[in-house]
Amino acid sequence: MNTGYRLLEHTADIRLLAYGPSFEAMLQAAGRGLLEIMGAHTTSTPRARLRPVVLKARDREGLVVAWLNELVYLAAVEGPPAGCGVSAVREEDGQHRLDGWVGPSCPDVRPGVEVKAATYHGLRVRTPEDRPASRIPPGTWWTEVVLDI
Amino acid sequence: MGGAWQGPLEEAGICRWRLPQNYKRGMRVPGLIYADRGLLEEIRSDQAPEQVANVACLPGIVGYSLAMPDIHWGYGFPIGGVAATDARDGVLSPGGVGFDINCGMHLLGTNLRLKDVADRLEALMDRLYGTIPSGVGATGPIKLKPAELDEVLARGASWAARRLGADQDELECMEERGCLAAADPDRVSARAKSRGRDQLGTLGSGNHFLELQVVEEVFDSRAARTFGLEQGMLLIMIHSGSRGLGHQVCTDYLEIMDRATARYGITLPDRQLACAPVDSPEGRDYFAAMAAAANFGWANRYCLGQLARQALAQALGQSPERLGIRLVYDIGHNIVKPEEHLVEGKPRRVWVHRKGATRAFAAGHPEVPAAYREVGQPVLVPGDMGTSSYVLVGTQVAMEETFGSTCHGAGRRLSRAEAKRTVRGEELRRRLEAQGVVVRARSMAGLAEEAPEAYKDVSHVVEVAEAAGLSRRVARLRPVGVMKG
Repeated sequence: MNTGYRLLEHTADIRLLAYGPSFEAMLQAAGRGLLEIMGAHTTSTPRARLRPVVLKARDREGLVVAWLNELVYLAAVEGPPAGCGVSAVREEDGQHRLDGWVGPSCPDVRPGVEVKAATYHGLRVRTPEDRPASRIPPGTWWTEVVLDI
Repeated sequence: MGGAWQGPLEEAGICRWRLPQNYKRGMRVPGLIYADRGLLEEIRSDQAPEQVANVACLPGIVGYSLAMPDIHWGYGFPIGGVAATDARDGVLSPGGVGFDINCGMHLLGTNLRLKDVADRLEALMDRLYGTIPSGVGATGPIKLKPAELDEVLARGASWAARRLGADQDELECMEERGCLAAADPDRVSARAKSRGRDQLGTLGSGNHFLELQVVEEVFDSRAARTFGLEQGMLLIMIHSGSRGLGHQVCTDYLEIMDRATARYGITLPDRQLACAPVDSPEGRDYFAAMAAAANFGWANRYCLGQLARQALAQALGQSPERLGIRLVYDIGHNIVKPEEHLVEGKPRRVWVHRKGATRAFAAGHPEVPAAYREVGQPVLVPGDMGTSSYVLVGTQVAMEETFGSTCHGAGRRLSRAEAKRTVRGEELRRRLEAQGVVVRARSMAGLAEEAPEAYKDVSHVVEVAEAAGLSRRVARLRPVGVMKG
């Protein structure tokens, strides 16, 4: 599998490592990891029930944080979505724009972790050309982000 | 990221370690970590000291980037970090407060002794657990209309006391009387309000808790008497904060500050330290919103305290007044506020960021409640659910060295995953119950994450704080009932 996520050690919080063959796939893996940490059973959702998400940030790192914090917000006010995805990321007016989607709230949330937010602390986003992280499939994008819990 | 920290620390007095200013490019002041050799070994095991160095890079930082004895790895600031920035040239950094704005402690005294309730502890904990909403996403008993939520944000604990028909005089025993007047609800986003609207009077999850405790040991009988504490007395300790509303305020303003940092030409080693000058529009807006979230935090803890009083009274079939339930003190440990301190012998207005650190004002300070002013401000330090918590008192050394600050807890030693690998929730519950601690928890995994072995020894932490002169021990409290979200 060249798409996925892992949880790394952190004394007080959670460090999420996510990877995928494209920036979009990496974002999707990070989103899915976050939802599962929060107790969602991520499942495929009929297209008609998906809601669009559009986000902008000044760089890729900012987009990772904005995407995860969007999911944290939705989970807090509606319950964790049962799925999420990223269709495209492109540059627009000097910013990075994300077009994605979230599924409806998960009907059977297991006891999960209350994530307060995704943080910028130690945040890394790496392209396939950068030095790979250990135990990450070669040729993949990856990101490492600390979640405050 | 991660791994042991190998940088230089120079011994600088009793339980003091100086992190030289030349350690890292951009440091404007040295770092100062309060620890003994034992704690220092644990502190070096992760990247918390690097975060002390990063905080030293904030524009306008005064004196030292400080770390209390319970310092551990956080994000932006270390947990246990204190930094004061100049009122004219300094900055405000949401990372110096954290997401759980005004997370803090609320301590209620009673005229009960453990022996009075020993055979009813299970029923008491059942009543508390059934009354107080807790756990991930819990909603509270107080439903707020938008205008009411704005009033909570503007007035803090006094709104809660009025709404619940409680004694306004008790607010004297809360830091800032439970309200920062600078709060502006209009600076709080609709998103933040939607996260907080149904959460007033909820405990939360993670390390938040409610405990029934007994005063096990008194170290300073004069201060204990002044705070109304006696050996054997039953107490209620609550740890909670501003819930989702505060989390969202921090998220919103980190984005604003991220843009501001670039616009003001500020260079920082960690983006989570994003900041803006105190007198900039971004700085003013952040403080107005943070103050509103802090007020929500005080109102929340006040409501939780009132719910706990009612639950205890109902379970024992007596009125809260007859049980002598009263507020000992309430104080936050994630907050930034303007304060006046002596710096190099001269009074100076500074913004004190306390991230996992507790205000510890000395005897005579006008901010200390009149009833306690002769001995100093109570400091509430939770430990872990199996051993102890402490009541300390502020000191003159803290006023002179740490902008009136000391530790806030034991400090984590193990990650949550390591804690769960070490002990299973059910096993922990049985062990605690064998020790005489009644446990109520929504999640066994969550209980295991908060196991005593996941934390440093709180007794060691407060001994170091006392050896360093930052606070003095007044009483040790032993848990007899634990409720976790």
